[in-house]
Amino acid sequence: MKRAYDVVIVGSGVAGIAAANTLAGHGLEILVIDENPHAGGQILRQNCRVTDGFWEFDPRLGRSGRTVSIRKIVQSLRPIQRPKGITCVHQARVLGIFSDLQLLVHVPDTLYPGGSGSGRVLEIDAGYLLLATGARERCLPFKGWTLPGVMSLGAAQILMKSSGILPARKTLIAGTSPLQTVLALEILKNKGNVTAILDENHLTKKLGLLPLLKHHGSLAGEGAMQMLRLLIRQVRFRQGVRVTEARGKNGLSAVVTAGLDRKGNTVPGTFQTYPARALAVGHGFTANIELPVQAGCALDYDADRGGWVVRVDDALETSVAEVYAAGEITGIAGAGKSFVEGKLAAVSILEKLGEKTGPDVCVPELVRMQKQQMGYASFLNQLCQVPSSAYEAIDDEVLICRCEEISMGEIRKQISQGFVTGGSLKKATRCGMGRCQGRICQPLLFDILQALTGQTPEQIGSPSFRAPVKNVPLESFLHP
Amino acid sequence: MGSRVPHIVVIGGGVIGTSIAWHLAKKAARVTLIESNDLASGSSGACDGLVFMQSKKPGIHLRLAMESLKRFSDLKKELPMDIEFRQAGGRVVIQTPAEYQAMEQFVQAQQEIGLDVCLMDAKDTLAAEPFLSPDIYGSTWSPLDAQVNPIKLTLGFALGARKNHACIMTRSPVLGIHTKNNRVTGVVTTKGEMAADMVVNAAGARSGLIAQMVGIDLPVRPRRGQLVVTQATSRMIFSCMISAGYIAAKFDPSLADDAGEGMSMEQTDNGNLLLGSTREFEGFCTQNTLSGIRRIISRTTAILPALTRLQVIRTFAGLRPFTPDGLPILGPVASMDGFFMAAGHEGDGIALSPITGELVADMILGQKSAIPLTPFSLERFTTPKGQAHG
Repeated sequence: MKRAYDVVIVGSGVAGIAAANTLAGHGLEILVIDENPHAGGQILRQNCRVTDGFWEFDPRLGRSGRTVSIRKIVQSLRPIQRPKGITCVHQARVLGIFSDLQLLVHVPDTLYPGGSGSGRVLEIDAGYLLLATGARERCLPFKGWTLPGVMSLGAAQILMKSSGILPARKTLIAGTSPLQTVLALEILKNKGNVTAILDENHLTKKLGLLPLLKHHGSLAGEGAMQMLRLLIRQVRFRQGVRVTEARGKNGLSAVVTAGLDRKGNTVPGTFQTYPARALAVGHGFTANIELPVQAGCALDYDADRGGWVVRVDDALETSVAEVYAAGEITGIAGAGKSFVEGKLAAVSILEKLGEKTGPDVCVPELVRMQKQQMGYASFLNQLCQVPSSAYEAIDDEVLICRCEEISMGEIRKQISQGFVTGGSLKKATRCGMGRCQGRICQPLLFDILQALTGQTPEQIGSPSFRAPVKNVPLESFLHP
Repeated sequence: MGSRVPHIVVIGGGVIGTSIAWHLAKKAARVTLIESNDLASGSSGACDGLVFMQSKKPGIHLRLAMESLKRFSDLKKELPMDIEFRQAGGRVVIQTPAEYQAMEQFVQAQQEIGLDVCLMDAKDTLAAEPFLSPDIYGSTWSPLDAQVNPIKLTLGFALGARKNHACIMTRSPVLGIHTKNNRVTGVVTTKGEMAADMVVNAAGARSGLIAQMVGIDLPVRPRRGQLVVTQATSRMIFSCMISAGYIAAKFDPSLADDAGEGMSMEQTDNGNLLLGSTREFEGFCTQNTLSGIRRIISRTTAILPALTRLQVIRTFAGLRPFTPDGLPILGPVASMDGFFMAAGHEGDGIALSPITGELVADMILGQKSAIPLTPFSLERFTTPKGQAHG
């Protein structure tokens, strides 16, 4: 591993791989850093197991100008010999970005045998930086959501994809996210059972959002096919219900739900109890903006893009010069947009470097496709959106910050004392100051503040993060 | 004063400004506190919580600190927030024979004026703090030293002030100060103008920028201090600690040649360890640096090797309001009527906030104060007879 690279790509999901493919072959030294053991990110987790080589999307992908579906992305992925000039480091984390694009990177001991076992922290200089750090799931808190057996939809998928383990013999699926059907199919494929899918969205809401999919026929088709396959397998579907409580002593044993009216408020007297050992629940996604925020990149708030996202120009450059962003961190819109943006950001960097990009690359066409793919964001994020009444209804005893064990009651109390900005509420409650550094509770705290105070996102303020954006052993700093 | 109650505007929502506002409001003064961002969003939210007596130079500085310390136990009861004040004693860790010699003299001077402090050898030190490195040379110990949660203290002062009818305006940067015939008359913020009979500059490291608005040059410079925060863990140190090098860096730079900036360690009520610190002049930059983080970690792990097992969860940096003689600037300013200073505490703002608030409030309200403020006047830097402290 060198200490300086022409381009450093953070994250090797769809956007990261697409960018690396485009940047390869220009004589550049490129470093791809990923915290997972393998490339692929969340979508291609299972498809990128071999570590020795590299991955490539079929160069014809996306050339038709039509939208790029997840299915096509998965199908066009193929293993290749690692291109000259590309270095991949896995299980490594970028802890911070400092002036002159100096990166603080924690690398595992496998790269430097004979270490302490804690890895070590290195400084890497980047000529250009491409952030493709993806997104994570979010979840509406309810009583008992910290019980063992309650997990996010993505966590249940990772259990199966990475470890080959089912969440339980029977899994209950809930929330607002389109991942519900994806997970259900994955569970059936792995010979598990789905107790039921409890979708918070009424059919009328979903139908009302369909016009947003007018340029995304293939995605709508994919969704419809998934539903059809689940119906054929006789999976129970309920719409317009929300999980209000998870019960159990040492682990989950039962889930209580309530029916919802058209506005998403729970209807009294509609409670129902399901026995369950595993509950997978998700309410959409939130962008992994910790690193760009730490680096000083400006943000925009857009509920239709999933909340706070990184502000980029048409070339995908952020407000910090030479720092580019691609994929979910510029707006939650799925793998198709990530693919196009990875490519577009790479082309922008090549143009800045004065490199010729080949006859098959057309920047205006990429920009057009990027805008088209972003259209899906409105559908996706409106579908996942939880009404503010749901945050108002959270019980006082529900833990919001799991690390510091801060309850909704404490948050309500401090809001009533006047701590109504994100920063001041964090100071008054310690919510978000714990070990996960607010990855779970910060977006929640923001939504709670919006729901309880009615302020604008700008009044509440965007989150702040400091290096190291993820925990790192103190010992790793001791080896220069 | 006539029938009209004078309006006092305090600029700065850090620990000093909120303390002054609370002390004033308690005495029924008409007070408005203005903060450009959120409360405790500057250095009061980016510092450790040491309330250390041993680190103060014998003289007016230590006297001020001792008076401040006395007030903390009352604050614990009076403020509407748990300020996590804990008087578990403090230790200055000695790492070399040369430091031991220097500390012997320092302790003697402190004992002579009645500070409860003693010198301990390595064996006694390790008996009290078993996780310290066996390589240390000894320590000095005082049962008086304490710690507090600086954010909670600031928020507690602010909530207490508001309970006593002070007006608190956050997210309101000050744009200018109106004057007439060398007298302050009002303050302009992004949210509008307000009349003011008195203005208190408690803007900490940024107090120089506020003073410039009325044509006053302050010798206050931001001196960056970086801190490293570990995960919460079971008790690893039983009292707060600084290194002898820290005292050296503070008072006698020649002694600090090898030790550099020294180090400080504190374990909060929550179990996190706060490791510090650096002393750097880098303007208003509050970024952390890799070299700063590495310096802090190598110094603290040399003294407390058990730290290496912990995770770093956060780093941050605050700006100490540095003054040339290490003492704050408190009180009226000769060239501008109605303009008062309460800034320049360097690294002692948290520890000195209770007494600062009280003294400044008393002085503004024309009441007799526990300690005269003359040694802290701004004019000590300009008048030839004003002798720089120490």
